[in-house]
Amino acid sequence: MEWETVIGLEVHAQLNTKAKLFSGSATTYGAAPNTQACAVDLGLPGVLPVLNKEAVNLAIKFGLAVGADIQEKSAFDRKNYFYPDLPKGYQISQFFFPILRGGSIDIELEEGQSKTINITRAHLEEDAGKSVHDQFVKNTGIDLNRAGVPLLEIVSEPDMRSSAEAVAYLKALHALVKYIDICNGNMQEGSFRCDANVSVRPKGQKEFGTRAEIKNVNSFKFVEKAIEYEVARQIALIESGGTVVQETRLFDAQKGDTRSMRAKEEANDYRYFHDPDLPPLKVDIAMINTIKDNMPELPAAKLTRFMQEYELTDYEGKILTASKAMAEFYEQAVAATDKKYKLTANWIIGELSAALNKEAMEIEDAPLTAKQLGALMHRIEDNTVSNKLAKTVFEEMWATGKEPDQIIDEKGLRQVTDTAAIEKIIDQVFADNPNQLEQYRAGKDKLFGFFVGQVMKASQGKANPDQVNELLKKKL
Amino acid sequence: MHTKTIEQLIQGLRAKEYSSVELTQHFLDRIAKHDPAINTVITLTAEQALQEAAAADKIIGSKDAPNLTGIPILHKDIFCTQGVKTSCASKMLDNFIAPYDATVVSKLRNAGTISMGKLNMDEFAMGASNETSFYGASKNPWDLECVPGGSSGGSAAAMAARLAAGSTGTDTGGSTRQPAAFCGITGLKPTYGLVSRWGMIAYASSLDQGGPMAISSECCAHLLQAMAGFDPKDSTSVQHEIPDYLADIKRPIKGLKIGLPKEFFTEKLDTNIAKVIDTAIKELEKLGAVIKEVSLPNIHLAIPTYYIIAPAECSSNLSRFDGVRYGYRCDDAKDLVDFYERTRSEGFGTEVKRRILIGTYVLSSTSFESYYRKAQKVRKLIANEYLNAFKEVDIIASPTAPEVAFKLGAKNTNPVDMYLRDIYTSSVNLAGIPAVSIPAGFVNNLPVGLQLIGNFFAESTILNAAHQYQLVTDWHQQVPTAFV
Amino acid sequence: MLVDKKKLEKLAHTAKISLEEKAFADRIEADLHNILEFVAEINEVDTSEVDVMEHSQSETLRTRDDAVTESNLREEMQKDIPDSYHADGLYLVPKVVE
Repeated sequence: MEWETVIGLEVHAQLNTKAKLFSGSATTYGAAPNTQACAVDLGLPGVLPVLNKEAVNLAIKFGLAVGADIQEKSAFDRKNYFYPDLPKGYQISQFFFPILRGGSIDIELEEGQSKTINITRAHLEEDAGKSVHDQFVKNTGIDLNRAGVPLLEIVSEPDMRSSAEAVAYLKALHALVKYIDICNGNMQEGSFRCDANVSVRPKGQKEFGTRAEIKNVNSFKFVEKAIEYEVARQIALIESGGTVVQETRLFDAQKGDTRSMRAKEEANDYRYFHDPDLPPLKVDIAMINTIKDNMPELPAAKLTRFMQEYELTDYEGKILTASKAMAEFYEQAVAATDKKYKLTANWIIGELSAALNKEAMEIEDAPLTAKQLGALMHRIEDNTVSNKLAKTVFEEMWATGKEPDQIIDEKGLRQVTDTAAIEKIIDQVFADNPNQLEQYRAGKDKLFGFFVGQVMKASQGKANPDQVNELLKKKL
Repeated sequence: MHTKTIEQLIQGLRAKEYSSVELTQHFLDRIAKHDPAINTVITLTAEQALQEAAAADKIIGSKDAPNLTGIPILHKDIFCTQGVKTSCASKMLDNFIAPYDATVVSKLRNAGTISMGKLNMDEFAMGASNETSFYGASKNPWDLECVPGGSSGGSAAAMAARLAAGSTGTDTGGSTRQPAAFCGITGLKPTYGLVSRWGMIAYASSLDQGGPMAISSECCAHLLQAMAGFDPKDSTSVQHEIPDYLADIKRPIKGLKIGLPKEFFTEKLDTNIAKVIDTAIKELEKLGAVIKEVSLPNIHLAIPTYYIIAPAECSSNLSRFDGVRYGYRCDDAKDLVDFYERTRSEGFGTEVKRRILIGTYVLSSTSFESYYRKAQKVRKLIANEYLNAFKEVDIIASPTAPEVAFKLGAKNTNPVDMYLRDIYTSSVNLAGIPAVSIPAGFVNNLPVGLQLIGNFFAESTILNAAHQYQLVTDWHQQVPTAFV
Repeated sequence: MLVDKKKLEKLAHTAKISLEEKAFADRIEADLHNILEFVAEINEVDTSEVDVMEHSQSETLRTRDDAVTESNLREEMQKDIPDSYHADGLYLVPKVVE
């Protein structure tokens, strides 16, 4: 029996707002328990929610980035259930009328082809607090700092057919939310969480099989493992005569398996109804246009432009547009040169990236600026310094943050381009190496390299290599 | 002093006939003397009140002193008062000290009032007799064996007994108006959204409104002037320019069109009550009002609609009472389920549990469409009928309640009997429009209330008619003998 | 029956209310039945032409600026609750197994 895997992903992305979705508490990660939980967050009697407009802006931004249908009118509903980390006994979410419908993200498959993954909907909702299980013997501790933090829940269509596709989609979505700056994407801190809905069906069957929802997968690797385990589990179960139960399962990172969740086992009737404390949300064209005008250039558009404008290859373009910071760095560096697109690209992809990797550093934290790198490129292009010596300059720039010109002067690395000066050095080399000279003139062509080396040594590497070649050819 | 209106007290204080400390002490003495019989005060904040009164005395008469400086009031125990116990008359909040003030409380304080304490009510505002309170029933000062009405029973009884210059109540299905009628005082439910719900413990969020309860329409106008206004902390608060209610109530009402819904004046209405209402309407006619018949054909569906929507919202609003962060918590819970179930079962009274279960039922997936969704549609139908009626008339009048105050313990068998009390009042909350109840007479020596209902933001219109009526009648000035 | 023992148990479980006290449980079952029968009256009217109204006024939602306006309130929020409810800043509940 040939089986087909069907996967849909639900991602909860914490939005980059300063304050919470319905209260003025801070959203910063890592604060001491309950120090960022005001009366509204604690669900005290008599408190009421007021919506944070930035959360709406960020949701709209996402909608624009994925080509979603931004709803002119959406509403907030209460999702009712009891859990200690849910202070009001209900979560304010958007069930009936979400703010975004549709949209899609393109992913790249291993063989280089592209696939479109469709998005069903995305909506705003508040996060719950955190349970601390290991601090007390008989109790669980509840921290409500996270209660009320704004989330954008992004639900994909069940379009993925393998764990690889699921991971590709997740990575693309992750990169996108970081790119447009709506979420910091920090999976360890829980800013970007994923639940996977997995089912299998005989290949060719139209109907979907029963799906299981896997929670608690907080890394790309774990998503892959969890899905693969679950698919194998379901197939084995069906093949041995059993049926898949629609349930929630937890992924165990240590064991690499999924198991049924006990606490949330019973089907919860969430009794969704429109939250009477919140009138419907209206989003108008003016709002959307303001956000559209301030949208950063999206990755795909940027890549196309880079390849065109800077005459780069697909490979070079992809590396340089991989992050907003990298792309910005490149453009700023290039601006300080005279159209030295390729040279600058090579240096960033080569020297700079190597240096960053060595110190596990992000480009935002590089000890030299794009302008400075560009200035160095400029000095290469105007022959002030050779490509080889530029590497020395670069190292010095990295270590001290000094300007390239300053380093070139201080270390006396200025390239010698004066023909007369080079000829003088050549003459000296000839004088010092009469045997080799005679041998070369007798026909030993190989010694050309020797003379180049000697001239470069005599000039401490500063002689312009092209001119050295030219003049040697003339004089030999 | 205790039979004076707020306006008279303001003048008296300004003229230094007495100080706010004297006035406050007078009311505190009356509370000490009379409250044991009627059980209206849950928490007394005497010391704080006298301190505030002393501070008020320093500025009374100065040009910066706000309008109500030095006027002692009591708050229904549903409004959060910072640093003071706020119980909602429930065991669930018996240990709850509110860490913040309700907007109604701070606005009234900023207007200069002195808060003397918190008033008894039906538990979590669910009831029409003040019998469901954890702190015991309040009694009707007109007959101590009778209920004061509910849920703002404590407020109504305290005002009838003249224990303060004014009080606050809340109204979800009639809870300021019906007790006002039972106790012979004036109670107002403002337009939904006019008075902020921040800090007002929620029962049914789309129906609740806080309002003044006092001895006259003019007193209510004073209090409403301070209470009303946009609050950014409440997303359902409306940005509406607050008129000068005190000026507006002075207008003559000649030509004012008053509608009498034929569905309210059927042979089902008790004859004695009908007579009182009839006399009151004639009095309004003498003042120049024009009476017309109107129709609200589906008004009989108001109570079932209300008893679907209100419990639904309350079942969700009361989920936060779980013993985790504040309030009552059961002892020695063996696990989380036990923790929740015993905390809530021990903390809530029977009526509250009843409504939570009804609400849970009507919101559950199998019932949602046929109960909750349907009720929302019927609500719209009823609201539209009122709006149509207001195209013909300025005010709609009716009895406030189908009967006078009943005996304590009388309606304890079938809950539906209690729910039917709301027949004239609950439709008003469903529509979101304002209404006031004013004393209009007596039946069997117990007060009868006349309800005046207005269009959206027509508080001025109804308070105006009420005030003009109160200028030519004295029902509102009657005080039960024992409390004179 | 609109409400039977099983349905009532499920409701009570959902609402986290105990039916252990038999007198209460019996009474509640009868009460709920009476109330549900009573409110079913709304089905007699035709509402096919009616648009659902969720609020009295057709207000649209106001929003607020994205600014931190609340500081650390832990002390204030925990000072007036019993000591047994919290420790080390955390609220305590019976151990939860996930």
